[in-house]
Amino acid sequence: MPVPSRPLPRVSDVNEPMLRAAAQGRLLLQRCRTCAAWIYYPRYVCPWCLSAELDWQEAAGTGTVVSYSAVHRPQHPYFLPRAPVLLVAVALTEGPVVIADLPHDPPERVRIGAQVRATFERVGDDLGLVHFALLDRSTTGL
Amino acid sequence: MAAGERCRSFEDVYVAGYGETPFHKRQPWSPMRYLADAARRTVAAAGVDRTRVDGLGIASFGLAPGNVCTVAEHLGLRLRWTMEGAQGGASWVVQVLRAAEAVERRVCDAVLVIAGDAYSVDSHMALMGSFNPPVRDYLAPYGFGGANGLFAMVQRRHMHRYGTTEQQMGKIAVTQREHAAANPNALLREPLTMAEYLDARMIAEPLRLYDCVLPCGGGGGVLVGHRSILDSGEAPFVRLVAGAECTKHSAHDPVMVEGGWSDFGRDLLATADVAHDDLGFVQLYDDYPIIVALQLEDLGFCDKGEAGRFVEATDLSITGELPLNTGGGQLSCGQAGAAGGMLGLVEGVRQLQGQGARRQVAGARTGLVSGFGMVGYGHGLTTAAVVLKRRERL
Repeated sequence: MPVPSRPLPRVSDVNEPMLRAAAQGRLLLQRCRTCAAWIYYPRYVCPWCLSAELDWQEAAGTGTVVSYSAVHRPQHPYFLPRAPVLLVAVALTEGPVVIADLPHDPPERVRIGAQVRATFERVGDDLGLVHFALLDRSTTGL
Repeated sequence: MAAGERCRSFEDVYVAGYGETPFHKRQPWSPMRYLADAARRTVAAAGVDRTRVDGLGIASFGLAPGNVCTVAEHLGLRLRWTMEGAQGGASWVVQVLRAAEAVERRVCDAVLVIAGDAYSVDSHMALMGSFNPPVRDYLAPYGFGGANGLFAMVQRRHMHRYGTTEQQMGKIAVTQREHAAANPNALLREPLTMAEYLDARMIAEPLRLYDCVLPCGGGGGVLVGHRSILDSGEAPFVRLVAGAECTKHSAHDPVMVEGGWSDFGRDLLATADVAHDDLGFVQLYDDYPIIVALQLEDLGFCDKGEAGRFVEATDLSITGELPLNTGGGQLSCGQAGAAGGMLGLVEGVRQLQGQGARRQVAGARTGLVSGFGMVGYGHGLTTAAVVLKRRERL
């Protein structure tokens, strides 16, 4: 039985710069030139002002945990040997909330409000995924 | 915006009948079979000749490449109005609202709104992996676990911010299961104790097994009609009094603390000239207890953040102050894909017609039915609700 492969984002003109930058270890997001808002997930127009004048800028990669869940039943067979998946919603320092995962930390260490930083994984040619990791690895989790 | 401007009220719109197919946990029928069965039952219950049906709305995740026009062909209908579900699990209620608007204007007189799906755990998970572009591209690569993972984060946030407890959410599941004991069509009818609820296996923390619906095959429908088609009908009649819809998201806050119902909740009851205490029941979209909680807040039964305490302090049973999901809801009956929420509308009409049998809410004359659907980036995008009233004469 073939090993299932990881579901990947479909690369298109709207997200290619971000996915390529992630393969290079950078968090590149759109920023609206008209209203200055940062945007995630990638779009063709700004969801705050409908402007099409969007620039790609590098974000700091830091953020705060908004919520999280240890997912025991992932939706795709690729993840079953890796369950539980530690799903996380992170409010980036710049504003947008990104849903990703915390693959480097045990679930019991995570708290709402914890500080995290982005990590990167190359998953294909010019294709990377952004993950997060707890910033303070030395706490007791309390 | 003044009360009522974002809500629609109707003078001449009725729900003339309802239909509900059998539900199947294994070996479901095909989606088209559920739709056809729902159509046949609904038209028969409405007591109108099939040639008078001049509008059709359908909702099904699995019907493609079939569509509303080919369903009309299969059913032998000639129509002035067609609509196909794009609002996910909220399609049925959005279609009922659109149908009511068309019927009120006499664009058409009798709209059949049907939903049906052949759902299973595997087909649900596969659907969740590619449901729409943001889910496919920005959630599926992380193994997010479908709606379970997303709404687990919603509940955790609500618990953290407001002190909501698992026991409070459990009361919703347990109470609804009591109601299902009197519903022969429910797939889960055995009593559920709080201990069983709290000890069940984790699905996506903090959600456990009985926080999640059982995907199944099933379908249902209603006939939204003009008063004139009921001339030869018998009381009681069910009038569609008011409704509202909101599709919204927060581009910077996908872990929802409130849903679109907050946009219209209190206004809707004011438009219907109904106080919260007047309602004989509520049929709230229950893909998860936390979503029931958000509806209680956003529809104005309690303040934001207070749903847990409200649930704890309120008798939600059929004989209580606020009967909730009187047929057991999707949490007990099963979620038949896009038809999941339709069972709440069917149950609401059933109750107002006095056909609830062993689960009849005594003296129910007014009810609210609420819907939710289309999981996007982290949250459900569309909400809608309708208020129904029992009438002894047209």
